[in-house]
Amino acid sequence: MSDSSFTALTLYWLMISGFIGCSITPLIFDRKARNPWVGAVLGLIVGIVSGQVFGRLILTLLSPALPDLASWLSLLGGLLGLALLWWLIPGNAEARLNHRGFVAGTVTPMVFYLTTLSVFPLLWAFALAFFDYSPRRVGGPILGLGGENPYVGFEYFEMMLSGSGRDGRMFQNSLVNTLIFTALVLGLNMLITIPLAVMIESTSDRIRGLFRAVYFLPVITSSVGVAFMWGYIFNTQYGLLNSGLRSVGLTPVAWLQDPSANFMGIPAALIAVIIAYLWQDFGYNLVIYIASLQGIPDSLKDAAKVDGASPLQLFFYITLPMLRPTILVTSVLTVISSFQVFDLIQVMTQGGPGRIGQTRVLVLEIYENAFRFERMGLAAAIAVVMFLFIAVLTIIQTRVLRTNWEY
Amino acid sequence: MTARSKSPLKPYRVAIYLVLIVGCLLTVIPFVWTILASFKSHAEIINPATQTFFPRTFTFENYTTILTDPTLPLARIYFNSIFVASVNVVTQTLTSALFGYVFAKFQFRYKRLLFWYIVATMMIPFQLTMIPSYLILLKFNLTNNLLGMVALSWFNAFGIFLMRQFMINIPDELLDAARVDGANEWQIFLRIVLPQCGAILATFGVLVFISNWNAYLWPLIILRDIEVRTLPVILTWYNDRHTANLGIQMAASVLIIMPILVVYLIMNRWVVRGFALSGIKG
Repeated sequence: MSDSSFTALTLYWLMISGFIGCSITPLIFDRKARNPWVGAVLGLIVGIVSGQVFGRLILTLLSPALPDLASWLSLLGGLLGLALLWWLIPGNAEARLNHRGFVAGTVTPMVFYLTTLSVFPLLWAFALAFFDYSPRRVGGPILGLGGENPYVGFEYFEMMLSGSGRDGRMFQNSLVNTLIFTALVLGLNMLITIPLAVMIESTSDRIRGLFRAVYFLPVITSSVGVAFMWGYIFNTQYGLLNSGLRSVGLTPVAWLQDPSANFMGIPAALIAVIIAYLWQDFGYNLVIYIASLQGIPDSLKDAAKVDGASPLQLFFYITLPMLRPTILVTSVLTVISSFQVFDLIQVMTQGGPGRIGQTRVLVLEIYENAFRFERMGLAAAIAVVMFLFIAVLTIIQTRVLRTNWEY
Repeated sequence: MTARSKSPLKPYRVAIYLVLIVGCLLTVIPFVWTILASFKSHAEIINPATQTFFPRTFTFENYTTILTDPTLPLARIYFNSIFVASVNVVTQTLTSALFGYVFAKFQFRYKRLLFWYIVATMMIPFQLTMIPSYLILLKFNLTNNLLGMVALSWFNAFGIFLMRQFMINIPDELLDAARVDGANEWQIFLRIVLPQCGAILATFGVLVFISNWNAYLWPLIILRDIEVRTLPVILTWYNDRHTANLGIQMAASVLIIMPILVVYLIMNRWVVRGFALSGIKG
């Protein structure tokens, strides 16, 4: 058996036995009128330990006779130790059953799962950011860090801050692109969706459903499909947009290829992907605004109408303030999702045009460093910085928009 | 309903409908353009004289090229996408219902703390954990394997949140009556609680299905062989081999968009409601 499949097997022993241990033991403890939470913890420990011990035992005993079946059977090794625990634990005649086995037996496995497969990777990501790590090199004993994957300290963070070297320039370029992208998407999205939602809300019920259904179509469409659709529309020779420009006598633009084409200093390619992104994404916020508008009591508007308010005044003095909590939620969600844009750009422009990449964004930078160049330490460091940016932007938005919620 | 002015002749109402219709056209035209282009021949697309919005001659050659391509196991790819999306729908709806129920209807120590632990772990941006997650799958020998697409996504924070809100309204008397009748907690969950939340689970399930069907970055990272890939990853791979032939590119795009479009047309109320919920709660 190869080393890698043996490592995989030990991990399966760990996860499967741990899972069975902490989900079933509480039920057994419950039946014997013992504290199920104690059972959950005991079951987890016994499961993990006996999974390793009996799993290895079964594997070494059976693999000469049944080479294929041995590894499958060894997955159940943990059950031996657990069965022993379930059988040996004495019942408690004095106490009453408390039915907590169900809660302990469901919550503990979930916490086990999340800790091993969510929280642990998070800590690992932070650790990676301080090492020059590639999965091809063997490295040190703990997670392959150290050794051939040397510790580099804050080197990546200093490089990103100062923008020195090629990596530093690439990072700062992608950060600036991401910030421009996010700012424009946020602003334009709000400018489109809020008035549009108010207009749709003012129509009759039947038509409202129809409009909402149509406007929502792009949201459910695969973003890779959207990228190809818009790639064709922006195509230099055959695209719909340039055909339109030609037919009204304007010069066509090489939207996705020409690094010198720009509008007010913003590269044409970046504008093109922003348009495609807005087209795909606006229906989402629109639906949220429509739902929220339907929650505004008619009495408020009617009172304002009686006082002689024009539709425009109604919008600015009644509707907009009432929408404020929703604006907070949608703008936070929009910033988070557009900060993580990847699919559209990877397919439409691959980060180009231009030498340094006029549409290279942070996630593309992370993806290429991690999975094309196998520089996972650098990629993790960029991901950490991106995480901090998202956290700070969310906090700022919450502070700015949270005041005066009561009306 | 209070009395609303419904006179359609007011000029600003006409303007509103005009804006809304133009908006609809802008939304729909890219779809129409793509679908029409998928029926145009390559010669028609590249000849400036024949570049029109509607195809001059309808042809199915783009579709036949794709469907008969021996290097493209299309049925297998559809199966992969359906498998990944369905398994995730089943696990995530079940775990959401289960933990929504547990957190709504039971009292236990550190409940609030545990609840926030769950929600917080799932608010971490995926890009931060995707590198270690990939390394973990590598250790588990699950990269380049469809199981890798479902191994790390058993729980959905939004789903647990949503289901908890819903479960709070289930009357305690109903559960207690079942307990008196001698049902154990798992039976109560499966036979009494679960059947009550069919509609909300369907709403949530459709959301999970769509987002998995369209997922691109994670399958791009872990699925390397053609036979195990899902549709969006295959679409970029296939179109990269036909960069010059836009008709084929559009036909391939239509083939991946269509199934979801059909789901949407059938269930559009539920889909839209689900997304609206996700924004309000999320």
